[in-house]
Amino acid sequence: MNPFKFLFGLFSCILILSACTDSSQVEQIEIQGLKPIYAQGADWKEINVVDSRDVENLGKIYYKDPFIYVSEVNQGIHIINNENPTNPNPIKFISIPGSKDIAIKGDYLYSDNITDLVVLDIADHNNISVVKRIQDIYPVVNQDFPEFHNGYFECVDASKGTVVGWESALLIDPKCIR
Amino acid sequence: MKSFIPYILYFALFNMLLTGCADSALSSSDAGNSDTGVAGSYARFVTVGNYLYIVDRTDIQTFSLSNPASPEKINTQNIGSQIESIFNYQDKLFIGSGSGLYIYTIPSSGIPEQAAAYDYSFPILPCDPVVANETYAYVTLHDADFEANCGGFNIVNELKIFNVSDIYNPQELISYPMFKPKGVGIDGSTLFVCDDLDGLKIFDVSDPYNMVMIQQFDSFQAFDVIPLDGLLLCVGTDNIYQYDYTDLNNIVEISRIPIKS
Repeated sequence: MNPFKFLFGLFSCILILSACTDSSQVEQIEIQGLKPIYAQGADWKEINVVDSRDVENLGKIYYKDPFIYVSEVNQGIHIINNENPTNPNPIKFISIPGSKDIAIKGDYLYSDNITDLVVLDIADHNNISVVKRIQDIYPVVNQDFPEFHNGYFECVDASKGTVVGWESALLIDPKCIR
Repeated sequence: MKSFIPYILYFALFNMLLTGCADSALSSSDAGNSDTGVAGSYARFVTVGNYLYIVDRTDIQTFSLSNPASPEKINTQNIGSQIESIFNYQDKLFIGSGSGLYIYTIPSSGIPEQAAAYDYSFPILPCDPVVANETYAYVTLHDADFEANCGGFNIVNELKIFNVSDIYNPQELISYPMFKPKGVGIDGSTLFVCDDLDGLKIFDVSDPYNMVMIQQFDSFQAFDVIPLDGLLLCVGTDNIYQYDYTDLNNIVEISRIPIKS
């Protein structure tokens, strides 16, 4: 190989690389975007019922007399006893990873658990159980980038687990965009 | 021109047939409503009679709930793009999307059949829930935040009212500018709009061409509502608010459930 060409190539590479490094260090940007939600192994299929917890990141609501069911985005469902609307009383929290939606028929509550549809028997709020799981009602989440999103997102780090969803977040100096 | 007449007749006959089908399903879906709850306007799940409908970004899936403990998928069909929400009124499904308003009927098979697809034909796609009654559909269109499910950026922020008394031919009647309208609810001629930083707005829509604001609660950022025959659940970013609207001249807040963020 012509040593001149090699040196020129090497020099160009250094220039290009250093340009990249420089531009990202000039200033840190803070911008709204999406960040991946990770799950380890099959952990995301674990559904638990705990005593009530604070509502933090509210999603959709559903009412079935006399209870209000409130989605904690991507985390689960709060059950609030609303027998007395002047004094609503949170009673339980159902932890369902990736849950966003709620529907109820009779004693059964339907929700989404990442890619799956889960059916819970809620006849007795002190004894809620998963009675059915239907896999893959939603397509598996893209592991490289958030589909249908134009803008910044936090780059995926596969060592953190499987991407099971994306959530809105304030990103600091995001490296990924599409 | 003469050649059009048979087509019109066929079309009318076809409509009559379809309407007939739709009517026959009414009783079956009504029967199941008593054991079903009420969702906010952003719902993607809805149960109607013995069926569960789930919309994702492009499709609607139908599950039979003959055994409600063990749903069975009986159909998947493509609707369009940017699907945001599904709303049930009697034997109809109203599906809000960034690309248009879709109306489906539920025949006795439970598998939805498209009655109308009304395209907004915007250059850029907004997000939008829809609610409806016998005569009107109310659609909110707002510009997208960084929401994974929505289309992108746009500058449309409005409430649209459609006449849907003929579901095969929805007519867009009028649009009202809003701040950034999100969830929406209808009870009779009272319309509830969650207008983001502008808060909760309550309108009298007896005359769709002359919508009148009855009251506004603007001390919080409103996201979604469920009207329950005199009791309103309203989701804000800091609380779930409950209002008593049995007297529309005196709508009062009765409680809040705090949200910690």
